[in-house]
Amino acid sequence: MMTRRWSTFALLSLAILVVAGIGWAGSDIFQRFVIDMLVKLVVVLGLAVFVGNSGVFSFGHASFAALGAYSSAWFTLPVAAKKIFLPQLPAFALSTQVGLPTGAAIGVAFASLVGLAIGVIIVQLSGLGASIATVAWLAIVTTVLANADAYTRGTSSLVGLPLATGIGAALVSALLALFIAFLFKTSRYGLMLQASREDEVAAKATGISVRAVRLWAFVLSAALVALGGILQGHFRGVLTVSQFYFEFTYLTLAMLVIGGIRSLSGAVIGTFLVAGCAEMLRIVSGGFEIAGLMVPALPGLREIGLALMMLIVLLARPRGIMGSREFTWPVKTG
Amino acid sequence: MKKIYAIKAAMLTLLLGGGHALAEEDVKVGFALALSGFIAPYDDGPYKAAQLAIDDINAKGGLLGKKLIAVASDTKSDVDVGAIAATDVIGKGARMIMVTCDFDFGAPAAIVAQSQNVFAFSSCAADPKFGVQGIGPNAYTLATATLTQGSILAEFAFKQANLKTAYLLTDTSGEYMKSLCASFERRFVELAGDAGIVGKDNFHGLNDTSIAGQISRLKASPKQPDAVMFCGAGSAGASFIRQIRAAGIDLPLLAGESMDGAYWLGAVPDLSNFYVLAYGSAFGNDPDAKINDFTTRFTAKFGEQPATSHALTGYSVIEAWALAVQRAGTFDTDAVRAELDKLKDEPFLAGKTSFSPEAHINLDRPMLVFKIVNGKHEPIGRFLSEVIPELKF
Amino acid sequence: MIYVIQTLVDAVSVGAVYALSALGIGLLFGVMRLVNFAQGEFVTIGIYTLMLTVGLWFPLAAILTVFVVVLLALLADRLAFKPVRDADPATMLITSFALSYLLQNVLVLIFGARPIGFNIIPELGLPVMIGEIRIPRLNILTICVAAGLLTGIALFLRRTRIGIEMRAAAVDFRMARLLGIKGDRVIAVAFALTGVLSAVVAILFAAQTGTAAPTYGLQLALVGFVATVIGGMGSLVGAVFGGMIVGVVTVCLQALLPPELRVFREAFVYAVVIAILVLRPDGLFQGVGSRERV
Repeated sequence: MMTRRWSTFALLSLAILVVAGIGWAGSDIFQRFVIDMLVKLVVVLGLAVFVGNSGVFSFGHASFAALGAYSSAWFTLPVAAKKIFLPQLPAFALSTQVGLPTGAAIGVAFASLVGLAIGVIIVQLSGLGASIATVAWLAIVTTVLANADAYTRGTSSLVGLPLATGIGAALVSALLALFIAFLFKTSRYGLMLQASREDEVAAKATGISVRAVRLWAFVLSAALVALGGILQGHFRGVLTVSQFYFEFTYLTLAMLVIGGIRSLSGAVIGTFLVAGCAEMLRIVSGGFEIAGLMVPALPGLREIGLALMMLIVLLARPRGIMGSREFTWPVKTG
Repeated sequence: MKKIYAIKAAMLTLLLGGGHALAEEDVKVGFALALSGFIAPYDDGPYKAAQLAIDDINAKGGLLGKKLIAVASDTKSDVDVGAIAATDVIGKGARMIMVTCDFDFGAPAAIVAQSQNVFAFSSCAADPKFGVQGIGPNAYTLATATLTQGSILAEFAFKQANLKTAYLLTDTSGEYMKSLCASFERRFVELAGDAGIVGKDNFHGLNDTSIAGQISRLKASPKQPDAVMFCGAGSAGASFIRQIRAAGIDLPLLAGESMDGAYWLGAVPDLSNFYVLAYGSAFGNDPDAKINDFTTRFTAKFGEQPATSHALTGYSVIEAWALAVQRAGTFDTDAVRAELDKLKDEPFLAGKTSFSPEAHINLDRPMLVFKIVNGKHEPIGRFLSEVIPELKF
Repeated sequence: MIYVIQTLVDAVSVGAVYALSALGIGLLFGVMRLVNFAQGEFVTIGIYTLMLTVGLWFPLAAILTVFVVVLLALLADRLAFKPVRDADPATMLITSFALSYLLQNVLVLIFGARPIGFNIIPELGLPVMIGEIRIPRLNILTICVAAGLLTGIALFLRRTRIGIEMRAAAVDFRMARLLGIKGDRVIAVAFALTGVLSAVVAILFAAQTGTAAPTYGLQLALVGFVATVIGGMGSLVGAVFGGMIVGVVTVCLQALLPPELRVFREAFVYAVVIAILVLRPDGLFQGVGSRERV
């Protein structure tokens, strides 16, 4: 049983490795696309830890991506850039520069602490109430960050982040996120949380402290999403508050739901499918030549095609592509 | 692993080799712009104007005897696709790229260009971070800095229009609007003293559907101002100007280039007593004949007038780069940069343009002030503030 | 004093628009547990319809708008939501997100993203003066319309056969169907009603803003969503008051906060929302079937 479970992890890792390998060997454009997709995967796996296991939808996790990204940038920005753009930072942050791994550790720690604080409140609420609270939380964090000029430059962007997210960093992070998500899902706490997802009352009756396990999942998931945000910041080189708002939330949640929230294989498939379709449609919509025939550029095709693809998958498979199945070896799924 | 590396190296050589072969004849100008999606209106005019500039250069025999060819890649109004689009056009051999006229959307593409030692020009990102300090030495913007725009409006109001007190209404949803009102306030206080600013209020262009509360506060202000500095943009800007006028506030309103263009005037027909800043006139009534000539040719080529005067900055992107290339006598990035940094008071379409090794944005460029009377834009003239703001981030 | 009364008037009028928007979202939520984010786009498409019909005799334009939006709502039900009706609320929610994204991008494709100014019923923007208090006619109209529609829908739900069926479906959809209620018809009527509500919001909104832009939907949908939950899931009165509360709190904070904190207004508004959720988990007005049954 244990080995079959781990075969899921092995298969998914292999899939990620293969994708990263192709990205590494591919053109610059393809490589950018793969890095971006792996970064999104870290976020989606992070969401899966909480949303997938608990069944409670969070629209607020983008806040942790933002908090992680900004707090890591306080330390990874070159000192010279910090003196120009964030002169009011506390002296100890202003005078140090650390690499991405240390910066990421700081960012993840910070976001997790904040996640713990707000998580305590959110797990008091049930179902949609909790979801709305996360929406409200995201609005609060966005507003505060957009006006905390001394720490974030507010609505102005923070530039100069070292471009440290390469294919290597993205790959390692995606594998790490998968490992953690997998470990949690198959752990006692993960199973307790899944029990509460299927029947909260029954789960409580068997002595599961639903609030406690939800809280820990919330914090763990905040940490992983923060890691994704940190990677995104160091991939683009620029941080804006708006990059961690509804579009981010909607896209990553859609990836999770399309793959199937109950399955980690689903999280991976959903991310690859949505990101892959988006990139394919981007290329096609730019216009191309086929057998001497010019296909003109079709603006809007990518967005409309993507929305239609999502709708069709949702209508055909309301529980996501994978439902609650996982890939296992041998091929039997279950 | 080694094998893959070898394959990759071979592929790269092939690609680069191919690029070189092409570059012998034509020179490619790259465009990583939003050709579709939510911010496409920002890039539409500048992109078309830049194409017109390329046509003009080619009609005169090209640049250093070489024909310019535009290669474009759509960013789909998506930040990450922006960086991919930049990679795309640079991969196709572009010697310089023009990126989206907005710092947040253009920066990641510009960073890609910077990392490959290619120029990244923004047509109208008015944030000084789009330059050496924010992106790197290859980033230039043809915009007039927001700092300057605020100063011009303050001085125009105080000296030309004889408006001695002002009330500030700031849209806090965007950097341009916040920084415009801040720089207006700084200059206005220098001229009129602290008492010159009668009151301040803010709204959020994305969250607020109505500014009834802000209007009531303005009406209740113990001292009524001579003018309201309205730092807003887009649909919220149009909608709130309509609400201000509907509430019976007929005070003069001042606005930055974010309210340039006539597309929104339908919301407030017969708008009067409204001053707005612009790079020039997109309506064919500019005091400068050169700009009207541009508008005529633009209209002839694309079938419609430019929606806003931001188009001029797109034309000037090509003007600036081509002039520097010509002076350098080569397309080499370092040599061209040295010439770009020496540009001084060049009479480009977007206005007088200067760059220096520190400032890759224009701080001392006059801008056109319009007065809108009965829904018609009447140009008053070009103004510059006496005190040129310092580069500030 | 006048300023205080004026601010309260402003608060109620901003709240009334939110309340109307929440009414539509609350209705669908009550009947089928669907949080329909695409309702924002129903409103936006209504606004574009008004923009296109500018110049027509206004009542005709208004009827056309109602027609277009109701048709859109029915199509959305049939093509997008019906197939996922039995899925969990999360899938329905993401479906509504995808639909909203689709509609927004279709609008951008057709009309471009640049806002378009147009002027309908400008007389409504002019204020009525009561002493020194200024009340725009539009706001009086909005408040009256909100009250009227709420009463109308409440009567509809209590007095008509289909209304009663709708309430039955809201309590237990499967049981209602077993008892012979035609589920499809009930839900289609609910969608048609939200179509009417969205069209009304579109008309009032267009008269106020005079601008059509593809992105108007998000804020209205978001406020409607929040309002429905704090008002008490499934309670129409609750949704209306929820919307009103969000509007009133927003305007009052704008008036009361010191200037340096005013930029953080949204953070305070949403902190109030979280506080309400924690203190009254079932909402301010507990609706039918809002509790998860054992």
